[in-house]
Amino acid sequence: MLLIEAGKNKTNYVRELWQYRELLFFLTWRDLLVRYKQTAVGFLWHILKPFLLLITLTLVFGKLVHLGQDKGYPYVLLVITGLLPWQFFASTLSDCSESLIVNYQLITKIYFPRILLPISSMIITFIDFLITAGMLCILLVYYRFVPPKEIIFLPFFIIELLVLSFALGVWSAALNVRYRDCRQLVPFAIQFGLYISPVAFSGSIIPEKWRLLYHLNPMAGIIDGFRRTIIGGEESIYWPGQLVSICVIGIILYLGLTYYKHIEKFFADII
Amino acid sequence: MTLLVEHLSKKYSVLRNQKLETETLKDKLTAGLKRVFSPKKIIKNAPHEFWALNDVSFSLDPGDKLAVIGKNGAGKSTLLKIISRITPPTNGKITVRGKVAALLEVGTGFHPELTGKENIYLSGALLGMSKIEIAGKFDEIVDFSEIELFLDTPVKRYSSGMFVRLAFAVAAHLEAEILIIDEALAVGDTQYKKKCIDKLEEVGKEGRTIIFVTHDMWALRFCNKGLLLENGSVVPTDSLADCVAKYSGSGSPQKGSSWSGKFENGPVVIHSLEYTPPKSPLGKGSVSIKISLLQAIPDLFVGFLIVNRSGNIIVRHKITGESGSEIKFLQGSYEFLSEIDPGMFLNGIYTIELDILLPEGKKISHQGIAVSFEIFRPENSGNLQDTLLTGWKGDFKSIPCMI
Repeated sequence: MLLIEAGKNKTNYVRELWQYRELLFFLTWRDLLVRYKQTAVGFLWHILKPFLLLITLTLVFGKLVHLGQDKGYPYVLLVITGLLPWQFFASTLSDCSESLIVNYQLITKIYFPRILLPISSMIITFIDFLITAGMLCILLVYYRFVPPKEIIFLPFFIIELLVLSFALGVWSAALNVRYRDCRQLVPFAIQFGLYISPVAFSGSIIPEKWRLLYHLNPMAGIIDGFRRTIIGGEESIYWPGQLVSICVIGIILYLGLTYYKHIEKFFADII
Repeated sequence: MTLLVEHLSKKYSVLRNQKLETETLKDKLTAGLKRVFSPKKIIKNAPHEFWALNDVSFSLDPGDKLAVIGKNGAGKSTLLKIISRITPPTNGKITVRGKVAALLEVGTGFHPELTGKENIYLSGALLGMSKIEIAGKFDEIVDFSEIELFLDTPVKRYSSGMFVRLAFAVAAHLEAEILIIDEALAVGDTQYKKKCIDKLEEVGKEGRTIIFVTHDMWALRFCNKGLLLENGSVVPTDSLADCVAKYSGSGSPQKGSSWSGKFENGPVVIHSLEYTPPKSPLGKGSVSIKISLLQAIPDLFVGFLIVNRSGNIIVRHKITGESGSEIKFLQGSYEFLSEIDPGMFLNGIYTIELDILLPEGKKISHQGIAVSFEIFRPENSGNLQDTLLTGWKGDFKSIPCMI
């Protein structure tokens, strides 16, 4: 028996997600299928894209620009360990923020837990993430590079990355339903974020006194974490900064989910 | 009871002086600034309220088929959207027993790039079917949609008819206690509509509850309950027929008209031509022609024309007079009766003219003998072809001599 009552909002997300797990699969499957319809190589693009990126990076930074060769690891590894989390973050944020509004026809005509849409976007970007991670492994083998023992902390940073991307993605998706300004803002924020996050440079170039402040950008903590656990470096993980990043991620998660939950029921009315 | 709706209301806020549906950040900011700088003035863009539904209550038992009717903007779609949980109510409560499946639009969830087969799975899942269920019903769905040949073609290359058939086929095979269908029949051709209605009748017999919205009055024949909405409120009615009557013109029957007199033209005397409107809103009207023959005419053609306002003949109906028919009209008086279904006409004024031909093909002049009738139903979508398919019954009989 189902009760629909005004003003009640007691959605049990976990139970609903379980009930609708098949639909989640179908939505993800749809987006994956649609992406490569009418292409000649189809799913190969999933591998080709990161591979082409890898070749470019290796050629440009490994052979042409002789940067950072003195640090004990090739510069290309520094770039790809930054790009791996950053690309996931950027594509998750932009795909999630669009996920609700591009499916407005579904939202206004069919009931299902709306959270499935940003989640399925994230599953797809996560598949890309895994493939890029595979490329990174190939590169490590190519350079005969053995990661330091801090590698055991890597899963922790991956979780941090997933939570942050999900929280911001869901938040921006909900905001986008209400204010289309978000649509303009997100690409700009991503571009801006690329410059203020240590993607193409090492976080260690930031002066000591600004380090803590710098970690207010949670991506700084995550990228730093990825880099330190995969290729090591002269210093170990900067824990005070990491703590700041975790707090910021926690706040974003809380705000994002609260806002999402607050307007979720009205999506069909205001989209 | 499968569905109990109690005092359901839904309020929408509409921004005045604004065309945009979604307010942007700027609206919020400027409204905020206005509040800061002129706190006492009333803000122009203040939203005003609009009640799409107002205190709607009804209940349905298993096997009930409810027809929801009303003009555009009466709140029909809002009601369905609340029952199917797409949008929350502002006030009131709904108790649902069983699974609800809603088809608020044909083809929702279809992706143009995907093939027919892929879309069956996708839209099935979106409408609430499990993968196993869809796989189990796959052949049935394909059969119903008649698109076997194009299963592996992207639906963007389908004709609109194929698309609609496939979409409805999926929805028609939903396993749910309550099936909600909104305007699914507004698209598609007559045969498709008929097939859908037949399918719905079949589904209804299985004891499932159906909530059905349509503007096609003829499509309501399988419903047993009616709910008439007007400006978001329920108009009290005591039956489905009453409901339809109140909807199609405030309960007043269509006006009839007649001509009678004595018009002699060769061997034929025309006495009267009469149009009787249907007694019930879903019923049929009738046309009666009374003539006398001054001599036996072996092969008389009697019928009438229905002419629309712009003078085009839209129907030529013959009651009798198949060439080579056996009927021999003896001298005497006859009444020709024919049923006519107002459901086939679009809104407008129509004229019925006599169409009488003598065996040699000589037309009997009927100058001035014509009756007219007016069809007015709010938002009529017209079902011309369907009625023609089922045909009209015509008959004639001998009546006491009128000369």
